[in-house]
Amino acid sequence: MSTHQNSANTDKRIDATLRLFAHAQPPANLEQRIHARLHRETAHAHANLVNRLGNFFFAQRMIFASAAAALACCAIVIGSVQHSRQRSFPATGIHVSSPGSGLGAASGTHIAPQPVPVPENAHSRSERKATGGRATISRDTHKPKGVAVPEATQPEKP
Amino acid sequence: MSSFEAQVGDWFYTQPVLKTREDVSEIITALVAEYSTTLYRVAYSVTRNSAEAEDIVQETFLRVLKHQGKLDEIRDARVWLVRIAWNLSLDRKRRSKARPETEDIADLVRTLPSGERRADDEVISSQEHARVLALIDQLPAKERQALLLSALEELSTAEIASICSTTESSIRSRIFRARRELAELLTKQRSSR
Repeated sequence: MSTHQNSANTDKRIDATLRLFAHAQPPANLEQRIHARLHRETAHAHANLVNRLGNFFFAQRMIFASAAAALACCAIVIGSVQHSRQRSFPATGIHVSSPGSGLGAASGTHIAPQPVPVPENAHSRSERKATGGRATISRDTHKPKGVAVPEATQPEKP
Repeated sequence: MSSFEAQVGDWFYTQPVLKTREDVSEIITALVAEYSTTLYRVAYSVTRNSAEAEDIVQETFLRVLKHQGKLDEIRDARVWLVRIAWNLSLDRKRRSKARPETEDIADLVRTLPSGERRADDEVISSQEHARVLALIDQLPAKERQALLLSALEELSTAEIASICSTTESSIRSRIFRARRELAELLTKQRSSR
């Protein structure tokens, strides 16, 4: 066989093999299957997107809740500090509570509307006398009912 | 019409219009109808397996769906799609190198309609095809790509050049070199037998 014939034969074999690809026919209903897969993937992608959004918002919800709690704490602290700075403390000494303020009910000094008369015996209602280092209460002291007062005993003489 | 109005008109004409889902679906349907067979052949020329080639075609259109925002920028859909299919095929081929292809080629030869086969082809057995294909796989990547794409009648030399990102003359010389090397390999193989 001549070289020329060989070459022609080789070309023929190459062309025949390449023609396999040129005439390859896709399987039946390829287009329908492509559309079905595209449809399926689109639905899947949509579902994934919804899931991802759900996860995103769940994570965000936790962050927002934490941030809101932190903000509320800050607001409480700042508010209480502001409040304590705005309060005017009265000067030491006589505490005169302003009527109707609701503050200092126990410690407030009640100023009598008229002068208080001095008692006749010029003594306070109860008088304590220290006798020999012991506290004594005089017999005529007005005492509330139901309180038993032991009799005063004279200290023993050595 | 003044030149300003013409410019404004041109501007509005060239601005991409936001496409609705129905528009995108229609475009993809049209692309599938027009190019699915070509893409199947491209994928088959690399993988030589019918199922894999079909999977690659589906994958190619999934890529189109994924990058649907770029549809307006695509100048030549055929070139773009073939390039995607080619790259996917190479990836697939790399992953499944161990699989024998002879049976698929034999199936193809058997199932090819007789009207599409020439009288010369009848005398070439499927083993012979497998031998030539094995030698094609030994060619350098660029030459092999040019040779396989040139086998597809749908693609012009200019389109193959666009797919390979090179010039037409470069494609012609690659095809020439590929055929020469293939012929040498075949001759060498025949003389060794």
